[in-house]
Amino acid sequence: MADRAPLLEVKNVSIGFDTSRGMIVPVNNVSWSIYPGQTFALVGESGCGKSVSALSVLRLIPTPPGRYLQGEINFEGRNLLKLSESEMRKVRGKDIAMIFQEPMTSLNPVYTVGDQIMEAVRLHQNVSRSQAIQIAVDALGDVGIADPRARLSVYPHQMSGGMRQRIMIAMALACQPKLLIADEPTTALDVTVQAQILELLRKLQKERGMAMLLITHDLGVVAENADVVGVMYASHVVEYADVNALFDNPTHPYTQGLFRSMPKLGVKHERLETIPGMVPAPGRFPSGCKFHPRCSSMNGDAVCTKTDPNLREVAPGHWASCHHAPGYEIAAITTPHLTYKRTPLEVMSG
Amino acid sequence: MTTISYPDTPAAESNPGAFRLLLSRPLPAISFFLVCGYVLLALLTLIPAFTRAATDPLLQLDLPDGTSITEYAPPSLRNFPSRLLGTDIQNRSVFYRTLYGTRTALTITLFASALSLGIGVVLGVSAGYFGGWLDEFVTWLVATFSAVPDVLLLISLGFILKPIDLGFLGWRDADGSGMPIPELAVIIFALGLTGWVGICRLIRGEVLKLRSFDYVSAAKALGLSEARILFRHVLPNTLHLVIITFTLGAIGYVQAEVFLTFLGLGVSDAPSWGRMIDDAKLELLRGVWWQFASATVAIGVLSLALSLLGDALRDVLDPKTRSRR
Amino acid sequence: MWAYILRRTLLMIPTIFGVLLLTFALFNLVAKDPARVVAGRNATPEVIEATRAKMGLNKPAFFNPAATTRPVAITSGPLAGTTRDKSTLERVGAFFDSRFFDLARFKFPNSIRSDRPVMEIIREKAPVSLAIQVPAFLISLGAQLAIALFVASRRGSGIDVSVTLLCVASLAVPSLSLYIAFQWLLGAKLQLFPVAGWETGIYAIQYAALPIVCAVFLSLGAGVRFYRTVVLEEVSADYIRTARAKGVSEVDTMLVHVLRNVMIPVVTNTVTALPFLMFGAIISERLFQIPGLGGLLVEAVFNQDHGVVMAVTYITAVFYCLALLLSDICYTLADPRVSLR
Repeated sequence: MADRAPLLEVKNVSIGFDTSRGMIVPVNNVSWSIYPGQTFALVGESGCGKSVSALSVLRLIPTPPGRYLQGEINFEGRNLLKLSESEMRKVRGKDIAMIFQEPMTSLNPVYTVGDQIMEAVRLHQNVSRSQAIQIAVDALGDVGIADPRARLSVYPHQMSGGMRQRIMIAMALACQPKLLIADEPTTALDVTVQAQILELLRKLQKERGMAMLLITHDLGVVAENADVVGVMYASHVVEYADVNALFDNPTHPYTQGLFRSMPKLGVKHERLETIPGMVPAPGRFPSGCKFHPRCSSMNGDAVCTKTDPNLREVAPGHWASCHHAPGYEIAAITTPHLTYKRTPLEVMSG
Repeated sequence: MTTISYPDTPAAESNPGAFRLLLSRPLPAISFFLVCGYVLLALLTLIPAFTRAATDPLLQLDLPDGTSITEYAPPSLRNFPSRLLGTDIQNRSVFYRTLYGTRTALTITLFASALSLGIGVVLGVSAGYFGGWLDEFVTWLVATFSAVPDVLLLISLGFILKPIDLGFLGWRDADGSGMPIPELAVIIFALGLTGWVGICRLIRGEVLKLRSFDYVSAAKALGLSEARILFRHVLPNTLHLVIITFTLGAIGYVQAEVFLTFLGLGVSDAPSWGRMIDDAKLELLRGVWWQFASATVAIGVLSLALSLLGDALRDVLDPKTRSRR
Repeated sequence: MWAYILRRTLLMIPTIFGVLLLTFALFNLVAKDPARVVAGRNATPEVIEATRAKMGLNKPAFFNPAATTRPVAITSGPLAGTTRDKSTLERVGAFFDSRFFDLARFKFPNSIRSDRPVMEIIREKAPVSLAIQVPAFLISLGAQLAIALFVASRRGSGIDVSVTLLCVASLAVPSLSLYIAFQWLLGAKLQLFPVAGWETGIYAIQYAALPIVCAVFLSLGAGVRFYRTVVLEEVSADYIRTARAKGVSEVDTMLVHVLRNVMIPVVTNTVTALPFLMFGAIISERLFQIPGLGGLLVEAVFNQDHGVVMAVTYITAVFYCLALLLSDICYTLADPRVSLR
């Protein structure tokens, strides 16, 4: 079992926004890797920078106010940040595709479903119109839409939220991308539909060997779908581990707080636990460790108020950025990337 | 690579009164003072000497070579300030005429706004608050008046009102026939009866919204009379619309005066910017540009100031954007 | 679909009736008797009556019961020269022979100046106005959209700011000033076009050019500002982000995705602007001596030509109501989200 090269490698990326009140940095020195076929989940609350990180992979951040301050984003060895705009456009939708949170507004209301899928197809593949129609029909069938040929001439507003998200997925997958970025794909949907969509994504991943960057705030979704997890807080990745390792042994106080606040079946709760305080907004980050005002493991240590910790490998394959994490002082500062592990499908097929 | 460190900019957190907020930024402040300046100039012209200077021809001046100037003197620094902007065909000072034009424009604006806002607010509030057949009637009236294009309604009203004589009111001339309606009254009525539609719609919409707010229901539950609710709770919350409409509407009234004068429905005895521009249409071909330029610049600057002021007022007074500050 | 159209048409009827009432009230009840105005201040009652008869104003305002009993003269056949009573149908017709119903059926008092039916004059002069207004409208719409799309895609840039400033400035100056300035600059100073005048046939082009250029430039201010706002709203929509994520180029995003959504307000604006194409160019036609409907209106105002002013107002208002109805229908066709319920 040799170490494969990562499909996507994000190294020390920082993104700044110029506002009228100065520059804010919503994504600061983040690193992570995704291997072919893997699902990497980026977890965090609103405002932690996970959506901006996701958009930054495809360079969809508007660059008058936004700026890439440092770092590389290597996709199959090529640094995406160094590509020209037209080269980048060839990557978007073809090698890397993205689906968004709001299926209601993410589809153009004046064009039919078929038109929008075929636009993606004909942008990246040199096919005739009838071939494109067939590809679109197949794509709709793959996402579980009944009578796909009839659905081609339907408008987005005529479909339910769940169906619209399926169409988004069909549109994203029509050109067989190697990586799918899913920005909170189920947050705007009903609970039952959520489960269906996630199952659909898992199935499509297995069939195509596609990797996925899954942005979510829901630990339950992470447990079901992720192979590797990065926990984000206030512009940093504060913990990074294999999903089982994270759930067995959450190391960073923020992650611990998240787990504690989840109600557990069978356990009697007097009161739900919360993490005291509020998530700071970019531009108003505290000095030192950005979590320290809300941290219960600080023990009055001054280093937390002065120095921002880095991600360090505190255990094999488990990174955390906390001064008080066991093993932090002696740990090496390395860019996190979990070495390739076989996905369950490969394990099963021997 | 290390984490980027950067100075954290502190958030500006303050909540000054709306007026101070308006004046805190340079552009709205300048606009406000400009408009005040125009108002002051208009008030200045109430001094009789000004009227004389604007309507009487300048004394003929003898040039060294023995000729005298009787018309179209170009701008010069002699006889400051009468000849500052030159003279017109009757050798009247363009400078003083421009100043006097402020008075005409602002008088028209003031009274026409009062009329249109008065009608609009009364009808809008009644329709929005009392509903029922009153609302149906006002809505129908608004639809009817909006179906006639503003320009045509204005022209029609001016056309109809101009020949009217006020004999039916008992006001008679020296020779016994009815006193003709003053030209200013024609303009004011025409503008007022055209302009009420916009504010009526806005007020009605706002009142309908306010009617469903909880504090109105609470007031009713306390037993307050309709009138008191109306005057103390509903009306004050529509005031911001009135202020904004007044400011932005003034632009339309000032420019409408020019248009009406062009059609012969304007004031003919007092100086006005519209009259100056209308006279200028033949002057330019003769190379006389000063009357045209003065009036146009006077209107342009005032309109620009009002426009910026209106936008700023909208930002400051609109409850939706106010909460964002 | 037809039920929708029928329903909207029925809703339009009270408004058209209101327009009829308003026009009638203004011109026949509020206005000073046009016969007296034309006859002059010191005319005797006989002269006024004669003028009134000449103008066709000697009918009662709303209903005409007296006319139902008036006998009809026989002009041909064996009984020529005698009179007979009106048939029932004729009686009904006579009852409604009043100034109010004349207005309703678009029958206006003759023009004072030329003593011809107003509708005839309008039919004659309309093509001249349209020859200028239609090209001007089309060119300015294209220009406004192009500039708005261009400026919106470079939001906040120097060119965006300067274009916005120019628009605001052009709206601050009265349109009469701009027309006079253009006429002087392009006609007299640079001598690019004739200053005023008109000729029929193909030679009209040289006389139409300057009014068209002026109309286009004057419309840019408000139009660019409006469409810029619309475009900016669309550009920040979520589905634009999706399009970019698919790899669509900036140009195609603007032209395929944004423009199609912008078309919805464009269609409604265009349809409601149509009635004004005939009568709207009042300043332009007077300054450039174009013998169109705008000029007709101005002359009518100066000459106290009652019938013409009333006719223009009424016809435009009715057309505008119809245009609103049409734009409603077009809106449902243009926007797939709107259902015809």
